[in-house]
Amino acid sequence: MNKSQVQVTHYPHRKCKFSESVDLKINNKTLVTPTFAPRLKSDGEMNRYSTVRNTYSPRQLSAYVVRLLDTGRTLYPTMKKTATSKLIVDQTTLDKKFAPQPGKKVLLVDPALEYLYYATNMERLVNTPFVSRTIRKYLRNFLEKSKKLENERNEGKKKVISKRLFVDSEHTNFWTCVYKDANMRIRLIRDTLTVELKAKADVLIPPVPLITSPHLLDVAIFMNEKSRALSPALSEDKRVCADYFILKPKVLRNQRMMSTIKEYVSNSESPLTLFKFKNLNLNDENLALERSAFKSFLMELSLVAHHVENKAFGLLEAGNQTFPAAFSSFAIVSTGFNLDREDRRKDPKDINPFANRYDPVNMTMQNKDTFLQTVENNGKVIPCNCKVCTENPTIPNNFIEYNRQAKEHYLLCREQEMIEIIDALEKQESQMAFEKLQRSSLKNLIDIIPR
Amino acid sequence: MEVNVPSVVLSPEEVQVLRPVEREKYVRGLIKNILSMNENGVMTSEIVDATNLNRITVTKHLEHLVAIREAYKSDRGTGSIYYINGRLVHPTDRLSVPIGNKTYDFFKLENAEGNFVFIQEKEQDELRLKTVKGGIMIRCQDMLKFKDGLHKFITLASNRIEVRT
Repeated sequence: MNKSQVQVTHYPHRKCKFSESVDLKINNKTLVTPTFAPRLKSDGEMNRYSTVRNTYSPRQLSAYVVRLLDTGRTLYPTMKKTATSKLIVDQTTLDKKFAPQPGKKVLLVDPALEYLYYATNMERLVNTPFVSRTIRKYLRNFLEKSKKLENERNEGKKKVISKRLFVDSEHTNFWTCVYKDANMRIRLIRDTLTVELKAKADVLIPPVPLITSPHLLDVAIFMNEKSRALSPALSEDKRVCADYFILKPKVLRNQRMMSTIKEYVSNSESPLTLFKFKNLNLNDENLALERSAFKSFLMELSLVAHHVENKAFGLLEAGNQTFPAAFSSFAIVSTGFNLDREDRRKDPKDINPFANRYDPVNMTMQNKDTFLQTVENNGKVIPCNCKVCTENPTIPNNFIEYNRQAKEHYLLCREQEMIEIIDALEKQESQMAFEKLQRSSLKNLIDIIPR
Repeated sequence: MEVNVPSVVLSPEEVQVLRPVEREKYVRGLIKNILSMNENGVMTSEIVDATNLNRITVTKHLEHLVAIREAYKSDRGTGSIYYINGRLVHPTDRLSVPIGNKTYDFFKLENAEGNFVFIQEKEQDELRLKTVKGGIMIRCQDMLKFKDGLHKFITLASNRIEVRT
């Protein structure tokens, strides 16, 4: 007597070749796809996103992604503020006010366990209570061993294993243990899904490894299946558990692994499959092979989405691929919202306080100096028609205000891109994406759009 | 005859690791799934063979599903065959009547033995979670008789029971 929590409705007039816009109903919230879901990682970003939602009511920004390690500083501060400022009168008010997510937006909580492989965020994962104890225990051991090896390397000892090899072997060993040990596996799945449920995620995302080898692909498939089997026992309202694959870009070159993924995806019972290609920039000249593999992957997904009932796909951390992926087969596309990517590894003193700004024509980020130059060349008018830019024609000197505008502008630009895609599909103009990319700095991405 | 089971089920070791509440929910959900995947009915032994679950556990959950009318059984020889309790005749054939912390859900169901009105009692606990407490099935053709009987009883006992309107 229960209906699936995820339903896909197709419309013949919103379809053109390999592209399609559908209505994706998740947990009684309807998304008109493609939807851009910004990945929020702090309270400030959450506020910016909520402001844009409340002020401009953007239809294509009806979902957002929060990484599990960011839930503490992104979703819960809103709860704290409400708790101190409001007198709670009854249980209904309590439930309403304490919900971490305001409004009718779809929330995806990404376990982001690729940080068991990449050094960034490892320290944060060790200290966050939102991550499973199994993970924290592994990371503590890993960091200890890593420090010991580093010391040995500095002391010039012979036969010290290389850093990359060490990370690879530790990572694979950990996931092999998870694969073999039922106790460890169930604990990891339960802890992760429970935190997602507490954060009121609309779709559950299983904890899966970063796929670096065929063995880890098997582990990822296994974890997806086990999480789907266990999820009804954890969630009261039988929330849907998505399939999730985190891939290294080099996997795109491995035809066998890609065909295993495609086969699994087309046969899986889960209505939503999410992908994340870590640090993938297909606009890079040297990635011609990856581009061709990605194109065939998009074609395959689009066929599955058209022909298998109730099937949708999402791409997390899409980066430069956001627009072509949204145009091709992904119902949800998500990417970071911090606008300062290249500043991540710099010394805090050298970090530019002014965020980068999205250039909707070039479809890339530009720093403040380039932006000022562009405005100067455009007759001192900001070359953008988004509501934020038209309402604020002067460029603020204060970096807080500048960054606020840059973030709101970014969201509205992405909203505009999604609307353009839907319009093009309704008018059957499949050339629109090619023309738009041709005018931008992402010309190489033309090769990845199926035609 | 082979029984249809979900493509992925947890292994007995994994089920053992679950907390008692989760285990109960998982096993009940799994058995309900198996019943709905086998419209021609299944026997306890078939579920045991397909899932490697303990026979006593499977029987307990099957009997619970029968008690709350989510399933029904027919005795055949020494064993019983269990069936899922029909499907909605029409998606709109349902009504929810909340009374206090209880909700009475009315469904019109169809199964191998005909059309039924299924009344299910759900109770909300302090955590606002709804659990099925019980249910009754009345044949559609007997519905008017049932209504008359209920009405007669209310009139008969009106002096002793307080009827809230």
